[in-house]
Amino acid sequence: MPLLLREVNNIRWWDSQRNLGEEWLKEGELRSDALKSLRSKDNKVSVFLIEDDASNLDRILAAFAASRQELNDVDFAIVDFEDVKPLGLELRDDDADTPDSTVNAWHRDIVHLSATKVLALANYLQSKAHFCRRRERHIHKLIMEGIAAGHIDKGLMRTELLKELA
Amino acid sequence: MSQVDPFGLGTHGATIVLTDANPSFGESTYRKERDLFGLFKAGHPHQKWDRNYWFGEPRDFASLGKGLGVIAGSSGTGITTLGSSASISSGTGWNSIVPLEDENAYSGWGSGYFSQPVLNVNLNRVLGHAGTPKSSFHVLIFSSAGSDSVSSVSNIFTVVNTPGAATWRSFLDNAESPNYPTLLIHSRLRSLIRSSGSENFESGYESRYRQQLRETFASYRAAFLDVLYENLKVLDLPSDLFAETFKFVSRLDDKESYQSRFLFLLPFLHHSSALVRDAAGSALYHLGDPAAAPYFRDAAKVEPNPALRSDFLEIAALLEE
Repeated sequence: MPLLLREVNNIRWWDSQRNLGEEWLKEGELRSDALKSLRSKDNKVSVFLIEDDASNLDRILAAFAASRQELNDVDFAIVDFEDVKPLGLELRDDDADTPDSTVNAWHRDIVHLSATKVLALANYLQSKAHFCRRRERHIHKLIMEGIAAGHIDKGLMRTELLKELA
Repeated sequence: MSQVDPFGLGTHGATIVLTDANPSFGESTYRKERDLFGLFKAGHPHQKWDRNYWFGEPRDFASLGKGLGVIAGSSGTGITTLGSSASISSGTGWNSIVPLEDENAYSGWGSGYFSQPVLNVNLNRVLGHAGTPKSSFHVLIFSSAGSDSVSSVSNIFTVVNTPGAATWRSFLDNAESPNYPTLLIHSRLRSLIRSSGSENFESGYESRYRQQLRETFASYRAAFLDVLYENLKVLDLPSDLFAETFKFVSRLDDKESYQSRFLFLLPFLHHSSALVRDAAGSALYHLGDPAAAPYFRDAAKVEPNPALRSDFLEIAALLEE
């Protein structure tokens, strides 16, 4: 089973280290703000499938970022689905809405999520997931490469982002 | 005359003015501004310098009627007694030139230059003529003068005589935009902040809050940035609100205020919250200005969060690419 990628709002919310002023946070505990990154809709959370060798990672990041309104850093977590499966998580095929149709097919939803499962997933992510940030300049480059390669359909991108990329 | 106290020092406070003897100093302008700004970058996160009102035409400070605190540099030994420079004594209409006690020496030009020095100067220890502490003063002048060469410390700070100049005005008055009632802008901003509480900020999308900041900026311009800065300084806001505000600051499509916005963001690399420091770093990175690189390196030196420290160094390297 491949890896799962989940975009997170801010990887700093997932730092296992406590910062100054966070003495209230017990060792290993999760900041509640981190849960904002797992906000569900219809009890579902959106993820992408990453190949074991991460060969499709850049393409997914490009497509994901190209579907947005403006260029930003992209923060994300990667976790092995086999590891989180025991939490009772179910994956369902569900195409995404990025301007790269291939990437859309790599999209999945984690479905039937109870609040308990979301919390369990969040705890698992903080302790086991690999958190990354891709800087916006890198994302810019990936999107441009995706467009040049014909992976990303510019016609499906927002005008604001196209203007920013120009 | 309205008296402003941007450093929040109250009755013992000083209005800090940055002037330059040679407003048309050419290509090194920016470098000088950056270096001058560096005086405060860690210790005094209250600076609000903009060429529009801190630099430019000389001004006459005579109408202040109180002492001036002047900081000048000399030969690499730091903040020294003033009055030794001939140009100081030739000033007219300056009731008293008060030296600032030499408390801290900066270590010289080069890496880390100005990263520590004035930060720890106790502004309440400005000395009067007789060498006794003054209980109050109105103006500190950080003055860049002389040639474009900034290779020697002595060239960085000298005191400027300001012959036949304009009347002193407060920093808000000096902004190019009209002097809007600050309270009105405060009120508008607080209202925006309150209403933002119900909004979920989503990376990659402009929030309603940010749109409203943009619209408000269009009305009040530099004065709004001042008020925004003052509020961020004192309010205990959620870190994502800081981040969203910084995005507004860094993404504003307004060349005229670029320098102000750049300087606006720098002090937050030293904010007490790691999340705020992180957000300030991302916003500065968005500006893509290589001039920010030394500030990231300096911030990294004192950054307690290892991941953030590494980020700052990475950004510095990226900006210098």
